[in-house]
Amino acid sequence: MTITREALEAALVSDPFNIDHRLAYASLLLQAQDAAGALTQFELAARQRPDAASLTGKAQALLALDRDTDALAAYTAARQHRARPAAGPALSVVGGGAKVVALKPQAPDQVRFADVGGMEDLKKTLRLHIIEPFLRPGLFARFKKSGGGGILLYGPPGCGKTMIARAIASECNAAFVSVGISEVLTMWMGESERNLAQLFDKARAQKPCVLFFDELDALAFSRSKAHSEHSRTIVNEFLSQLDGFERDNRDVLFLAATNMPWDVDQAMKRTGRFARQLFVPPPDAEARRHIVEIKLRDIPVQGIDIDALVAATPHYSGADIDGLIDLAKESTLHDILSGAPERPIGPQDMAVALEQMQPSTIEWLKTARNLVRYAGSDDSYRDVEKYLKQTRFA
Amino acid sequence: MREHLLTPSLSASAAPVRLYSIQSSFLVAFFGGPAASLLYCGLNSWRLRRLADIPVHLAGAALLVALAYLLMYQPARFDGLYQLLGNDVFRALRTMLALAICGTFYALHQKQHRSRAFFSDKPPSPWIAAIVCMVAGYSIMVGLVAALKGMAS
Amino acid sequence: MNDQALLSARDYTVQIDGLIERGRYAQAGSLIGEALAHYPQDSGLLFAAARIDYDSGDADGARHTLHQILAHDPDHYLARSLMVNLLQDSGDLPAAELLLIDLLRAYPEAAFQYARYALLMYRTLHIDKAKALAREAYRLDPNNELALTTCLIGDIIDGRRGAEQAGLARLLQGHPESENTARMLITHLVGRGRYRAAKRIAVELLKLYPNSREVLELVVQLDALSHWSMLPLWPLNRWGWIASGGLYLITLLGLNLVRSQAPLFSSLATYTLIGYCLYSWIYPPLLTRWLKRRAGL
Repeated sequence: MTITREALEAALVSDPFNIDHRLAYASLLLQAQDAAGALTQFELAARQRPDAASLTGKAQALLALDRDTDALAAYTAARQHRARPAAGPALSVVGGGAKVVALKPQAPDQVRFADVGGMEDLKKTLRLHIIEPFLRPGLFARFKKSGGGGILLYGPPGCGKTMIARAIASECNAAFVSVGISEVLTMWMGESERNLAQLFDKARAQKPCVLFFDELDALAFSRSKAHSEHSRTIVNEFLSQLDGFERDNRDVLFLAATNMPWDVDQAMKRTGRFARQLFVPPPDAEARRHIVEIKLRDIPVQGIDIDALVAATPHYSGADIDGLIDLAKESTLHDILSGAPERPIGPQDMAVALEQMQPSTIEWLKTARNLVRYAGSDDSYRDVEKYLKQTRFA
Repeated sequence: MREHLLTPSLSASAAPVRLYSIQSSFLVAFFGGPAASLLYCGLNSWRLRRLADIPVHLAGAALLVALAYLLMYQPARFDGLYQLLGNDVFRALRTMLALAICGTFYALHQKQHRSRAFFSDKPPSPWIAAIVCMVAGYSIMVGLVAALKGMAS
Repeated sequence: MNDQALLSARDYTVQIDGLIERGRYAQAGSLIGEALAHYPQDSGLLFAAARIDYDSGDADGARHTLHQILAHDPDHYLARSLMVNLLQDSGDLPAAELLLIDLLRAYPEAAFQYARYALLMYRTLHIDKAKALAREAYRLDPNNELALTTCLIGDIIDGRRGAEQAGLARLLQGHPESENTARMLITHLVGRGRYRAAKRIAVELLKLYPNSREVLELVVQLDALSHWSMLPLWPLNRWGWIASGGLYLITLLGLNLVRSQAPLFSSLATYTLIGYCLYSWIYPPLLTRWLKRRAGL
């Protein structure tokens, strides 16, 4: 979704600490040939959070102003920050107070299954168990096959769980109501009962609707681990809303996603709630090829063997591949700014990037492997076990 | 009523007590003999400032002297054991006495050892203390035998 | 900036506490930075920052922030309480004790602090005082988890099995899902030589805290103890050095018996016993190392 310059300026006025908005605004200024303005914005962002994104942007603005030496210094500083994929949405000042802010349904027409590369097995499962029962309940009822209900997507961070949820909503031709970490934070401040009830009412009013809870572990944190009574109360309220909804849940599909399924309260995974849990693995080879091709489109590249790159990036998430290509770009730009003639990104840049990059999914997979090894007897992580065996994750 | 509980027990000048592990005590007893075992276990008694252990140390020393005397001058008392153990009698008795001493002091310090097991604090390195005790224990045995021989002559 | 959109310090604190509870330290850190920009002197927010630093392993950062709080508010209960943790972690136990005593004088009904003091006394081998403190904590709040735990530790140390069972039952009844209860249950089972049962409890703990290195190490240790190849060593694991002493005696008598009665098997018996001794020394650490490597530790 393209945000206009005016909208970004307004957003920054109300929330000057939002890094993502500032970086987006700076990028727009740079595209509009306002390099000086862009430089100011990138410098502000770097002061607040000196990371690869802000420093790279600063370098690009300096380059546009023909300040090559300063640009080189900025790129060098950017390379010192190891590219880390985004771990989660940036927090911004959340409007609070007594007023409960209703959630607006978002246009689900952005992503469809065809836009999600690879992962054919997962898409087939989703179609059979979720989408088709939602679209053709009569057919499934004739075969006495139940479908729908609540689905929990879990897996390592950055592997497209949210994107798949949006794609499901598009395939179901349903409205998409998303509850993210910002809304959860608002609920913690109080009014959680009202907020939750309003949320479910909104979903009912928007039928057919997909109600998606991102980072479910934040809202439905395991009560056995929670120290505060407030956390337990929220989970109890959530459970009773879900149970109340079961009586009239046609045309509303519940989806949730989490990187930490072990932190989600066990009661959430029972019948009538998020009874089905689906593992969303890191993108397979085909999906990685799809992501690489999209990321390398419209930028100067030469001689990069995509098959080899895909083979060299097992367990990489989409965000990891993003980071990898960013590192390759930095390597190229660093060479150019050091005096080498301008050239496209080549295999040597990819090699440098691969050396520096470590997939962010490894820690999650190691944790999952130990769970499967020691606690896998109850089939909770059967899908994960299959994935680990298929990919021979040591 | 609670005032005695709110009196500090730890001192900034003295480090908290750490005991040598039962594993190291066992090995010193097994390889070093009863004199080394008495010395090594005495280190823990000293660290704990347990005056009540002194009589036990004295009893252990007395048993050691008695055993040495009996083995040297009244071996007939151990005829039954000779039949059972053959020429290993001396070594067996020495080791068993050492293990008995180790076991006795473990029983006396059992609560402290069990308490220590709840925390991840590492015991002090036993190497230097163990080697010193074993060397000293050997020297004591040599001296004891020489003294007994001297008394007999 | 739109003032109406600005959260109060309390609202920020609630959000940050929620993020800390869920282990989302990066997000909590980001939010605390935002919050302190608006309320730089708020002691609740500063304490939250100290907690984030402490939980993330930045002891120096936590200490610095706590000093900042105590400079303005020397009686801040939570800051002093967290400072006790820092002092204990850094090994400055006398200072931790003094601070605990201060807290107890200020809050004489704080069963939790009595229990913490008891733990400190157990750690420094002041057993009698520790037990007295544990009893006092239990008297003040019989349902307090730490008070129950410290009383149970006293029973285990004293070797009073009946009291140990009763203490464990109270802990299970009052706090069945607590990590602490699981650990005490594991200690109890290991003390009885029931390694498989202890491992099952540890595995349940791992399901709850799969990211915890400590819990994973515990599972690996119990996996090693309950491994089928460690079965011949069960008496040594169960009874420790008493079993070793007994084994020595049996070896002595047994070997001499074989030498006198069946000299043909004397060598075989000797080598078998030597082999068993070597196996008891060498194999357990090798197995543990292999299991740790397999678990990624």
